[in-house]
Amino acid sequence: MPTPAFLIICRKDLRQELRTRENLTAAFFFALLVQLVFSFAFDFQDLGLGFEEVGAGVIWVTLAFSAILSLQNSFLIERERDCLQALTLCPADPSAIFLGKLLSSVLFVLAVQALILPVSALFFSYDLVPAALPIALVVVVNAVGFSALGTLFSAMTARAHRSELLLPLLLFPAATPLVIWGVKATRLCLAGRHLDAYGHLVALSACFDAIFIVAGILLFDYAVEE
Amino acid sequence: MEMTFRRLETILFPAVVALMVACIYRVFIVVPNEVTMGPVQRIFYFHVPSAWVSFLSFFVVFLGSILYLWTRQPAWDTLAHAAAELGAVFCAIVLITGPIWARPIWGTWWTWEARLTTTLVLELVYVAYLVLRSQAENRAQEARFAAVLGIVGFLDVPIIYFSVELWRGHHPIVFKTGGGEGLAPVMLVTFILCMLTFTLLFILLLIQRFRLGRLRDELAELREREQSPEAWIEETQLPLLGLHPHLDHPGRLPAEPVGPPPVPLFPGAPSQGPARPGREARGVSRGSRPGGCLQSGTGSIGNHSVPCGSGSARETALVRLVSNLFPLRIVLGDSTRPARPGAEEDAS
Repeated sequence: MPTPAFLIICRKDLRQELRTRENLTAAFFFALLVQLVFSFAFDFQDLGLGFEEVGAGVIWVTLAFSAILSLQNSFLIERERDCLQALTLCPADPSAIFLGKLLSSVLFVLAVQALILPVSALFFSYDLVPAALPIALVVVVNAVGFSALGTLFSAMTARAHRSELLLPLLLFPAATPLVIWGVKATRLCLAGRHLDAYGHLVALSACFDAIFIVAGILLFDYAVEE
Repeated sequence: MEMTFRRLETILFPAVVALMVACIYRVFIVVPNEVTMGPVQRIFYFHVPSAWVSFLSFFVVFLGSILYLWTRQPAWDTLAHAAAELGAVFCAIVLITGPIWARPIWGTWWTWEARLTTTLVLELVYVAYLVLRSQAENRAQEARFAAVLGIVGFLDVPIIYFSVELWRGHHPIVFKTGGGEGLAPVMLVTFILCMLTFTLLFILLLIQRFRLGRLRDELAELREREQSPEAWIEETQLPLLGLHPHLDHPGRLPAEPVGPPPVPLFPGAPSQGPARPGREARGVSRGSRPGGCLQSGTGSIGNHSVPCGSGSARETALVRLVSNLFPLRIVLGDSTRPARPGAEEDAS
């Protein structure tokens, strides 16, 4: 059985990333910087704030900002030497490009999170181990939706002028529900609550994912059309 | 279509003006003060209709976006653009009038409550939509990108509302205060009148903005046509005559004679030789095309029997169209025109 087109595209992106490592490096250090700003913004030691109260916010702002970098890069690398045109010419349905790019973006976002979460646990001295699995579930489900919207928008903004400016402007308002549900669920995870307490939030995020993956498959054609 | 819009406008304009005066009269003079909130409650006769119009225009954006992607008629895109601009304006009115009311009543300018937050996000989506449009590379790309965002945004806004509601509480039901009796009849009539006025105002502005957008498109097209008339004819006009610019071999004629009956192109003028009114007269010979032979076409469109060189029918059609577009220059046959059309206009 031949490999599906979207897996080939995803593999291409991963190979490119493994050879250059520019996306992961940039996103990771950017995430680190965001954490640094947070440590100044909320002085955890002096103000006596526990990480359980504000930690979810720190995790989500870091995720959103670093994900924007990865998503932006996803199509900016294709802009060089007209790769995007070559990509659209490949004999596969445009939705395969969308799914491939979505998959690679999700993997990048998750890779950065896998690196930054332990670091934030060190910085803000909270216990990640008991909450690790629930947080991983919440982050995975929300990262898919965030990347689905981001991939669709990134394909458009990469070809517009001043793309760096446009993607956050488009993506952040549209991804509001994910941020709300993600922060709420993560807070419950950090508080050590059971899945029953935040399961509905994860389910809602999963519905959001489904809606915008379908929308992306249907609309991606128009986003890359010449 | 254009005439219908114009007529509609002439009817709507005085109606909207009269209704606006009536609204202001009713809101500030007829309607009594609300029992608990006092005079500041009157802002809701403007606040709620603006909110309704901003949501309505978002629906128009969604509709225009879908119809554009479906039919590829630029008019739908122009409609969506017009609605988005109006939506952004009315949304801003909602966001300004809301806090003015909230400050004395809730004691705070802003609260992160479902409807407020959704309206703010809606405004941000509108802004993103308009910025995206301004950053596109060309008109077709602008329309496609905007349509995608219009559809995604419309799907998103109810979800945003739902998510914020889950996060925070409900909006106060402003008209239910005063013992739960609901709205007094005089207030209700005023409120309905305001809703009607705002809706009609929205329709009037939408038509005006839509027509402006159409005119802009037309102007852009005319400019393009002036700058490279040949390309414009090749792309848009030849297909209308059944002559496809790319697929048809230059020498081939359409199977069925199409177009108007044979008419001599330049009565009394020699069709060959130094006159050659077509290209040089107009100065459109920027990079002569392979197979291009204006002078060889002596006959007319749709005449099978005209024996001429390769591309004759096509080039004849070209000459005809060019002469329709720029009749004066052709008649004058002035070969001293500058090489770039429009250059002398720039100079003068």
